[in-house]
Amino acid sequence: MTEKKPIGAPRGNQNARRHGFYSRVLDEAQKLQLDQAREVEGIDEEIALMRVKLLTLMSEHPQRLDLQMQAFTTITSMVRTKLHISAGGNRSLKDAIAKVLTDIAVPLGIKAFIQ
Amino acid sequence: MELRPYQQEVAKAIFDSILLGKGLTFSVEIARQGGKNELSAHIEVLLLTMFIAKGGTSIKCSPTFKPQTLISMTRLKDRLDEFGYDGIWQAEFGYIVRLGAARQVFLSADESSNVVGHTADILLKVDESQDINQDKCSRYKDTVTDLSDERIDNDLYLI
Repeated sequence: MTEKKPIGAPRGNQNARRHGFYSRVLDEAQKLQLDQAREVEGIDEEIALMRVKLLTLMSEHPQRLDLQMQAFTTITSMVRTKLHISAGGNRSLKDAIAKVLTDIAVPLGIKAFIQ
Repeated sequence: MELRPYQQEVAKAIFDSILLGKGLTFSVEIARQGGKNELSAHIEVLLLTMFIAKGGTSIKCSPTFKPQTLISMTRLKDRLDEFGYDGIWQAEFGYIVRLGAARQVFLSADESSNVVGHTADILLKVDESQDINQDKCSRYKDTVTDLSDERIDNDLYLI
């Protein structure tokens, strides 16, 4: 006698898992935000957000120099990180442009490469 | 991945029109699995590279955002990574890929989508144009024409 095959996905399967490790502590709205956050590249938005926060602090709590300095230090650190990332990217940018030139532009006979 | 001769022929004609400012329109028909989207991604990589400093915008519209537009965006991002632009290109607003000052915008031609507000000053591509509502197609063209008639270099229709 053959054993009856159970219907449906096996217990404990991960088919419905969409949001990874942190999703267990997020509500539905936050899971949507997580999807949107994945689309963001670089830290420009975070730097801009910190600048707005600093402005708010200066406006609403002008006497709290300690908090303002803390925000300023954070922005400085973020900008330094951004520049560090960019500096590392310059070498790879040259390499990437060279690869596009040799692999795509040259076979197409394109001479006026960079506009 | 190198383009096949029949793909190169199309790419050459398109770039000839863009670089010489001919403003031509092309209708490209390639058999299924023939590499139409691969050709499109190569064109996008090359255009983003060529206009990385000068800046400019290409627009690609597809019949639906999901899955066609998403597939096109993913393919472009994959190709950019393969050519070594990983960590250099940036995604904006979930439907734009930016490389330096150059942008590739992906729009959907869904009935509910709003196509007004973008200017294709390098190239306008319509993917699967036979599936796109003619009124919508006209609106794409109107968008480009109304906003930047003098700046149009090329319209391309990939079918």
